[in-house]
Amino acid sequence: MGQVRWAGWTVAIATALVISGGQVVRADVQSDRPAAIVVYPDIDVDVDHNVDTVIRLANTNQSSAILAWCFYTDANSHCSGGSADGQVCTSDPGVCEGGFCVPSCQETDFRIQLTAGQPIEWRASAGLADSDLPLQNGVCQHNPLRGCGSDADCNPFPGGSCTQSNAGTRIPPVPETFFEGELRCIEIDAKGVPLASNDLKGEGILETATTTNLDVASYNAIGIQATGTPSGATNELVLGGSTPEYNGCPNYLILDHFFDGATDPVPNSNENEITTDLVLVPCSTDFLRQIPGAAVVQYLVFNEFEQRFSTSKATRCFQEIQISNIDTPQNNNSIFNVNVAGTLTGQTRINAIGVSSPPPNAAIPSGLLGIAVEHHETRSAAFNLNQQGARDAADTITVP
Amino acid sequence: MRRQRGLIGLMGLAALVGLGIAAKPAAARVTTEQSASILVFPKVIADGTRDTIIQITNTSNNMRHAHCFYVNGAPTTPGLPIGPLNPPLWTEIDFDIWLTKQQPTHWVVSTGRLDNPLDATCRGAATNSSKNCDPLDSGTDHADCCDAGFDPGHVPPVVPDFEGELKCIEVDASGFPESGNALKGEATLETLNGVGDVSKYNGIGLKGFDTNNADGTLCLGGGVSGQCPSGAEYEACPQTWLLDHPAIGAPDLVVEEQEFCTGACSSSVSTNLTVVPCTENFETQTPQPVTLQFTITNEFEQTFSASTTFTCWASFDLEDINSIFEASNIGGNILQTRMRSASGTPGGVMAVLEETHSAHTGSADLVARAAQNGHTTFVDQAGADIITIPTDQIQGQ
Repeated sequence: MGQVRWAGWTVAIATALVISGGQVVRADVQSDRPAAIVVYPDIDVDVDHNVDTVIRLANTNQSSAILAWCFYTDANSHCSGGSADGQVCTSDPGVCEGGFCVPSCQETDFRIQLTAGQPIEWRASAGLADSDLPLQNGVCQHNPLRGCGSDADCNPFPGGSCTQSNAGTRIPPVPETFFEGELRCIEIDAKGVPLASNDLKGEGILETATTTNLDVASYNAIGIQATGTPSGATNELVLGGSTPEYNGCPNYLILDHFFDGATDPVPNSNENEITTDLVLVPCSTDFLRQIPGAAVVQYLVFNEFEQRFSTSKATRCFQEIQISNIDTPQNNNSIFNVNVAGTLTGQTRINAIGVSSPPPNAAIPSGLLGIAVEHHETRSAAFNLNQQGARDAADTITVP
Repeated sequence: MRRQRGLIGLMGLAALVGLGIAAKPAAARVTTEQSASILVFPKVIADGTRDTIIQITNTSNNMRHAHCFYVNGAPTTPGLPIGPLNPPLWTEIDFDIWLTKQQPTHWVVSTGRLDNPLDATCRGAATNSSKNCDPLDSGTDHADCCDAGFDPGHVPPVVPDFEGELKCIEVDASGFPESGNALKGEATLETLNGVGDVSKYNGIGLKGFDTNNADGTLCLGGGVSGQCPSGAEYEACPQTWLLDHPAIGAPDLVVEEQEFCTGACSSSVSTNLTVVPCTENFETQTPQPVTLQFTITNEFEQTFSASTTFTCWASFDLEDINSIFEASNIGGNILQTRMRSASGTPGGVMAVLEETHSAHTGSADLVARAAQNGHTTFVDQAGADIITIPTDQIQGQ
């Protein structure tokens, strides 16, 4: 009788597990939900050419103030030696006469205090501090005439708590007047420990403003949601894998694009030539030891005839590249060129194979996040890439 | 014996718990970055001043089909404001597309795309040619490079002065809705006649579940009901949209800081919000009004609210909803707006934002636009939204 009972339970529980087992709870990085980590893959500043990026960051929590720890990653290359030692050579290594153009991946971090439901914005070239902060100081609730930055400023007299404010916030400008790189913000508690709370959202607005042209392109910051299950060291944030603290990075990024050189097909448009820039940043980064993530990126390209091409290219720290320069410096011979591909549009599936490398160009294996910027000659539009699946391997962000 | 009966009951309960988990899909909401079974492009314009390019891709390794609807929300008399004497047209046209494995496709909304296998490929164009596609040929029987590729079917052009939405629903080869989750897409809005401005957003996707019973009543979220005997067949619409945007009339931060921007130079930013209801009945074509509630917080932590009502499709300049969106009234330049449909009105909404940046530089008046997908909260719309497709359409492939 006992055996029958056990058999019955076993069947019932097995049935329950089999039926429910098929429902895998998805856990993906998302650019359309609030998150605990937000990544702005493309921050561009070029003061000489009137290029800047407006960064928007908002606290979606309607009742609590939050603290964000943000990291700019400066991916500029610089000349080493020669007559132009120290000069930026990102777009033209030829400026380093007698020297070498050396890639770098330098981090600068700062903290932002956001009040409940508060949105803020700043220009990357200028930052935000002091009197430019919307709520520079709070006031003591028992004496509104007394300014304060924290509850301690109100005690012992007049007592009570300090209202929410941006006190403690100082957003520096990006470290160079020509800047290419990313911004990453992590929600933390007052002690600086990363917090499993999904309250941050943001947008990046890429702008060029001259006397004859205004170009604006916007994208959503990519959100990495916390799972609420801490594991390991508090300064080591685990994305995906078997014990994820945060959602895992995608297995594939999917980019729908016009092939480079395609003529805009819209009647009565300016018949502009269309090109696309792809911006990729690693999921894994070690801000403590200044070691960026790296990957060999496999590109699988389909045209509108279902014909398939592929290529690959290594990336480390940050990559902003015109798609027809991924496989060759000669755009007209690229598989991403319209005359080679044969149709106006294509789908490119981007798969990152994480790789590590020793110093001097040390790197840790990483998945990738990215956006695309589509240029119609002087005007452009940015958009978020689609994603498919989650990587088996965990990514890690290590903070100091 | 009684104890044994109780145990059997508990065993059955354990099994039902499993069934219950299976019947209730994991909480998930609309997505703008994953393949889905329903794809919504809330803002599609082809009115002579702007046009739209639609890109749709099959991300699976199998042939996929979709049944698509254009819904025209333009006013009956173009150029005049919508009102009781000038209601929106609310007319719908539908068509089918099919995509081979991993195939991307595109078309220009004003011209559509013919099913013409004789289009020459872009490989025929000379290298370094300045024009591989003559835009005036798009959608014609001699489109060549403009429409090169496996045509997805015959995509009709829209009527003149079109303003509305495009919705594509994944179906099987027989035309019955299926949850293949293989569609993704983008819409590129272009300003014509010399301006050349572009803005782009991702199509909003609703993932399908295995519970899809392939009938003409598509259940978005919700539980088991008479209309939805198998419960939710697709993800629910979100309860709340989170929209960050500048206040109307706020200065453009980048323009104002340029060296040339002195004296007569000025700039401003405005925002347009386009919304479509999640519930749509393509059979009766009688849309129900939806009331939207807005809660607006500025950077000074001050909160305001507003509301408006729309039917079928609407594209609002925010200042037309309420003057509180204006920088001079709200006292801030950057706003976070939470938007939800009011309780008691039918279901959720889909939304997309488009910012317009204007600059008067002294030597030129410049305008640039940028579209944005909104964010959503983690909470679903409480009840089911229903999309109803006429039965003869789902069997017509």
